[in-house]
Amino acid sequence: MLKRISRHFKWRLEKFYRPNKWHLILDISLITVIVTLIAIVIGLYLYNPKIDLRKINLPNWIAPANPQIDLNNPPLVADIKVQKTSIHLDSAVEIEIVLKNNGDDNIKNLSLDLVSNNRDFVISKIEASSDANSGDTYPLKISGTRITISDLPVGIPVSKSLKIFFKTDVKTANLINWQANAEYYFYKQLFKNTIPLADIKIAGKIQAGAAVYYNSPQGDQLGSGPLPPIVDLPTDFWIFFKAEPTGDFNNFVMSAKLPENVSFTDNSSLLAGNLTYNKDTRQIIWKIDNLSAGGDDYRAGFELELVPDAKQIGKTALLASDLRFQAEDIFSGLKDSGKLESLDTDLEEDLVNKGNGQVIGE
Amino acid sequence: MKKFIGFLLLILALFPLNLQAASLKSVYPRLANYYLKWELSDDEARQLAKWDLLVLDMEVQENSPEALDLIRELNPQVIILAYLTSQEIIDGIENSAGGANAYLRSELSRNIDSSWWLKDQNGNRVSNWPYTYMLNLSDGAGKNSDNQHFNDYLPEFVNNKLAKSGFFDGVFYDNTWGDVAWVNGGNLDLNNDGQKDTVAQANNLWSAGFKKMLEKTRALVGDNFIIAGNGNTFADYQKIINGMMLESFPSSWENGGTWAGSMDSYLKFPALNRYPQVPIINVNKKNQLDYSAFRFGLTSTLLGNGFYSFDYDTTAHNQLWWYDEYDINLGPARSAAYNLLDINNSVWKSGLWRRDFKYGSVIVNSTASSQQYVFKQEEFEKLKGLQDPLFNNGQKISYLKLAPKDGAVLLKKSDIIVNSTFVNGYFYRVFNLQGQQVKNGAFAYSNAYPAGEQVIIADGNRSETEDVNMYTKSGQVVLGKNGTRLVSFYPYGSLFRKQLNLAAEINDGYFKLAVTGPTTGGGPQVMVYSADGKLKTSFFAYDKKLRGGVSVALGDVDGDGQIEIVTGGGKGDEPTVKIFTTGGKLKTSFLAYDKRFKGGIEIAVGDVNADGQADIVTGPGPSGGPHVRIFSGSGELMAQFFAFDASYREGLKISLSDANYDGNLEILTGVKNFY
Repeated sequence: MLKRISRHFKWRLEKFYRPNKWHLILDISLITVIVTLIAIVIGLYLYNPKIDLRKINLPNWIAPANPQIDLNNPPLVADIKVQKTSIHLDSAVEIEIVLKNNGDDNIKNLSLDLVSNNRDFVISKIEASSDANSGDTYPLKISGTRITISDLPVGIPVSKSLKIFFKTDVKTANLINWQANAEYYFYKQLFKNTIPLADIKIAGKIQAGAAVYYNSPQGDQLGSGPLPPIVDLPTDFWIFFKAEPTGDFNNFVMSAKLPENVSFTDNSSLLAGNLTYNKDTRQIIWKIDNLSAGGDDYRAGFELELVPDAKQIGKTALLASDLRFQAEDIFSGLKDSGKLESLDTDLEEDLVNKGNGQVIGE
Repeated sequence: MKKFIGFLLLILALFPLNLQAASLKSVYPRLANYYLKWELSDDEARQLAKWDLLVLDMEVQENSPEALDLIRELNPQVIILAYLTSQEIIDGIENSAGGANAYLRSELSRNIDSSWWLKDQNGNRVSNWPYTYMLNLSDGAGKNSDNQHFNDYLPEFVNNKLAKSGFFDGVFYDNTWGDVAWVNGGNLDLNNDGQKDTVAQANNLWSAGFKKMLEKTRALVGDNFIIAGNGNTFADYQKIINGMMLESFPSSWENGGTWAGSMDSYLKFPALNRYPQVPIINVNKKNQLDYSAFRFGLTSTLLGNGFYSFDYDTTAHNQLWWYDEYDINLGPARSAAYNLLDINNSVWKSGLWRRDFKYGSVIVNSTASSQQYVFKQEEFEKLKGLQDPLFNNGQKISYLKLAPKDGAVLLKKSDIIVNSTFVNGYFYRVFNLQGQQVKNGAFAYSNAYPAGEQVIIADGNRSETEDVNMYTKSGQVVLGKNGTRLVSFYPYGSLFRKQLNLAAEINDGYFKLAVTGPTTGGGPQVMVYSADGKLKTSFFAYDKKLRGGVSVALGDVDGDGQIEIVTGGGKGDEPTVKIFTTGGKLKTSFLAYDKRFKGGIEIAVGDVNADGQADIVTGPGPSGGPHVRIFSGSGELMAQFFAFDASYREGLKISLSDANYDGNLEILTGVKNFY
């Protein structure tokens, strides 16, 4: 290496310096400048000035006279507690914000921006909790996804409970990683810091449906007996339940209660789970142990027999009421549940017989 | 040892072996045709072969022997009885123009001794039917040169001319009366004393002579030759014969002339008859389209174990009328008849009578008013018929309203498919080869098997409680019987838990061979197992890199007497049907659909056109339309139809089973999501 450098200088000596000394002077000058600049950069990098900002006299329009700022102990202490780390998609995340000004002057223009790091989930709304026991001690202003406090006095901790709503097109179970970005002025100095928040598990959604048919949409006869139903004669209908999970679920249960003049005929057809009828409670219960996200086989059909009485003449007859379902989302551990409308002989879904369910005398 | 042999002989004496030439089919309805033409065409023979019991005129033996052969060829189980009148004959038929095709009658007539005619007190011959004269069956008649009464001669004639000919399974003696005093206004002289016999005299002489004739016939023809009679039922004859026809049911001359009286005779006397018992009910209507009368007779017959015949009237028993109900197989009887209006009373009287069979029930309203019956925890379907579509409308019913003197054949609503693979919980439509829906669609489901998995139930002639089955369960195959798991195995290892395709060879209600293929997600590897779950062989039916699974079926599709494995390509591959030996050697292949369709195909194998050779039925997998195609074993397209609306794109499962109990395989197309 040295040989190569030496050879190079010899070559320059012979080609430039000997014929004209100004070449040598110029090269020495340039090398001196370069070395000097490198030394300055290294020096600045290694320099720790130990400046006490409070002793700096800034112009009045920037900071008050004689500010006392310790950058190792910033004045704002913010604690944001996520009350529930697993939620349903359509419910809000409840958080409690506790702020304390540990400085010697008020914090001005404090803002907290809540930001989701999961692109599929956007914070759509922030609401102050209406819970009377939430221990709110300080007024704050909510603007979009930003929380602002114009003036945070010294020493007094303030807290606020909030509800955070997310917006998404995703219906599957999901994890939201998020944070709060804080900005404030202290002694007219802008401070910024990031407050990480506990991850939120969004539960998968399970939906259920129920419908009653006498004929299938393509005309196959499923039920039997007179239609419209006739007093004292049995008419059989098929009820269909289905479950549509957007996540993986355990312990799905769907149930319905049968009125007195409706009975389960023991005819059923399932693509998943088990169906039972409790004669004492008059409840049909469909259970599935495990459901996978997006599964299309969670269907059950069963036959009910209606024997209408004279009081039902001119009316549609109730076939099943109190339809409800629930299941446990494996990802979040949360239970999802819902209720469905009662089923009757109006045959809302039956394209062939819709509206043909009013009981007649004979 | 001697005691044991003695005991054995005693047992044999008490319970003689029934070594009968003819045997009765175990399923109902049992059909009879009282077809008295003296000559039969081949076309008539072909049609007559559909009945279970034929009463054919004895002259057919001479005039159309090839027709009798043809009937037996087409229906080896048929019972053919030779018709002759027991007590009358056309006098001089051998010399008349009509005698040209009356060889046996001429033979009989030529040998009639003049002392055998039945006469009145004035010595005049008695006639009870146009163009015929009656013969005296009593020992009061004279004897011929061989010292024979007519009641000696007739049995010899039957034995020599009919029983020994080999054409017939039995003889049908028309006019097997137990009394005779009602004939000719009672002016009869059976003992030839020139005096009018008293009623008692005439009847006693007649019945004794008739019984002697029957006994002699039995002695000559042996136990295996059926002797059937027709006329009013006379108890004293019943131990000799195999059964009676109740002509013109309910006839005025039978047991009080009521329906209940005829039914009492119909149900009571077979217990006295020899095996095989062949009671026959013959209903006459001059209107072939009187379906109500037809049904009333058929369903009344089905209350007992007899054969049913429906024709014009006593002057013209020569109809080939065939009815929708005849195509139904109700299976073996599962109960005796019972009166729904008086459930604990078995005495025959007007009522709403019912009898249950393996695959259905019959209900008869013998009252004079309309009756309505509501089924409790039972579901039936009416037949789907063409002749009386308002009645046989194919609908599922929860109650039945029956007009007076009408009856209904009802099919049990079935929740399972037998002898073919089905997906437990799928909805199946039922088609014939022409693509016509022949029965209501229904869910195939039993909670004894895992929901959504493939199941095969082998159905023999066992009772409903016996059950041999095979099913899949999360990658496993389970063989069970009567609710007990006999064998289970994982064809593709216990880590492969996807659903499987399954097929089996079934013989008389038992599995002989089982074949599996993975569904989508698995490679096209076919595994072949013996009935006890031992692996016989395995092979890849398609490119082993594919992961669309493979559908499988079994059957002799090329008529070589050997079972073949038939496979359908899975998702991602061309829709190729391949036919392999059970050892995995490729025999042939063909495209079931356009080769651009790569949604996979489902297949089933069975003889859907009843030509004795298995056919291949295909249905597209998901993304294909509901396009069912039926191919011969060589890949020739025989028929095709759409099983659902053409816009349906979720794929079809195919099963082949006799869903409407008509003896033919129907094409069942299964879907999981019709709603």
